[in-house]
This record gives sequence, structure tokens and C-alpha cells, in this order.
Amino acid sequence: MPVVDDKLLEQLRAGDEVALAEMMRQYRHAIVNFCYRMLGNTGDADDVAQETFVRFYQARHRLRPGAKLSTWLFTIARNLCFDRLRYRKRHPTEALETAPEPVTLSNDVSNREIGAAIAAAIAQLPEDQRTAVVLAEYHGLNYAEIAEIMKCSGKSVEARLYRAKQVLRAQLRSWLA
Amino acid sequence: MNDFKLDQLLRQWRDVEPRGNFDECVRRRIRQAETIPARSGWLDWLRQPALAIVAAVVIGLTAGTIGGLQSAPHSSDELQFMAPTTLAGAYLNMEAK
Repeated sequence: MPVVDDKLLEQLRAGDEVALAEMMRQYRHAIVNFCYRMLGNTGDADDVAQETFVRFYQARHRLRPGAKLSTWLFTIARNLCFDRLRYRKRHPTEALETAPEPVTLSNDVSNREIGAAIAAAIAQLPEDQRTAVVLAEYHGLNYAEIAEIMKCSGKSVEARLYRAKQVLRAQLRSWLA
Repeated sequence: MNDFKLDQLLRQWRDVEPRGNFDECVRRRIRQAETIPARSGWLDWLRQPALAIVAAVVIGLTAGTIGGLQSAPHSSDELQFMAPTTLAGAYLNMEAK
């Protein structure tokens, strides 16, 4: 994760448009991909990621020097992803239209198949395990950072990751052989 | 099977790119959020259908009860039209005595 200095934080709090652009440049890729792996759908991922930056900007006055922007952004994104997943459960017909799609940047058929298999396996995980796996595997966050985002202990993160990986190993065994 | 193999496999799920107009969309949403006046607050909960129905039922029952109490006869004089041979009429007669 890129390091954001206190100057940028100060500018953000002042409502500086340039600072907002700089923050989006640094974090938009990470937040869109976090949402994509949580929701399994590019349309929803873009929408929720945009909303994440809007909520962050609206709450910018609460930021204090030394605050880690990535933690704030991932926390907001996680909550919004959970809201979207709950919405899908309540509206199953609409959820069909936004069903997870195995989209990858690669055109290679084999890579697309692997991507689809991984997406399906991760989608099976409970939300908290999914969050832990996505943050650890795709964003390189350590237990303490994930714990801060998930509002739990490092031990709890470790346990969730352990259980998630057990499930993933079983689901993806044909690809691991 | 070790974690390394699983980690390697998981990383084969490729990243996606944000839409080209991502920043523009965020700015537009921020502007929209700033122009929409804040809701009044205390009436917001009525926007939830279940709560709105409950509120309507409670208001209806309260209004019905108040209306009923106000229109109900307050004295036995108003019930004198009842025939003395009926149970209600006999009761009123007894009360009057």
C-alpha cells in the first residue's frame, strides 16, 4: 500500500480536489479489486468502489494526522460490500442480473477457467473469511492490518484465514493436483 | 498440500481495471451528495415500509379509540329509547332507580 503523508491528509480535509485526485490515483485500483473479489462482479465492484470514495470524502473531517488511509478505505469498502451482499440476498431476482462473472484481464482460456474456479470457491466462503483471504492474498495485508479493518483480533484473523484456506484447498483440489 | 501452492494458484485470479471515467463518476456523486439537502431526520424512519405500516395502524387505532370515546353515550338518558323489556333496557331502568 502506498504511504500517504500528513500533507495530503491535510489537503483532503480542506476539500482539495487535487488531493482527492491523488488519493484516487493511489487507491482506486486496490479498492475496485477488493470489491470485485468480494462481490465477483465488475459492475457492482465499480459502483461500490465509487461509493467508497464518496463516503470517505464525506467523512474526511474526522481524519486525524497519522490515520492510515488504506485502513479507512478498506473498512468503508468492506461495509459497503456487505450491504450489497445482503441486498442481493433480499432481492434474488436482481442478484441474478449481477451474478458473479469470471472476468479476467487475460484472454487465455486456461487462465479464465482458473479465474472462474477461484472466484466460485471464494464466493462460497462466509463473508468474514472472504474478507480475510482477499486482504491477505490480494492486497498483502498482515494480520494486524486486517484485524483493524475487520474490527477483531489478530488471532481471529489467523483462525479465519486457516478455515478459509482449508475450504479453498478442498474446492480447488483439482487445480492444485 | 502446502500454503505456497494454494497462494500461487489464488494469485492467478487476475485483477480488473477500474472504468475509464471512475474519477469523474466519484466527483459527480460527491457533487450530487452535496447538493441534495439533508433529510429532516425524524421522519426518515417512515421511509421503511414495515415501520410505515405499523405507524399507520397505531395512528388508526388511536384515532378510532378517541373518536369512539367521544361519540359514545355519556349518560343513560341517551339510551332511553331502548325498550324496557330488553336486557339493556332493564339494566338502564335498574340503574336509574
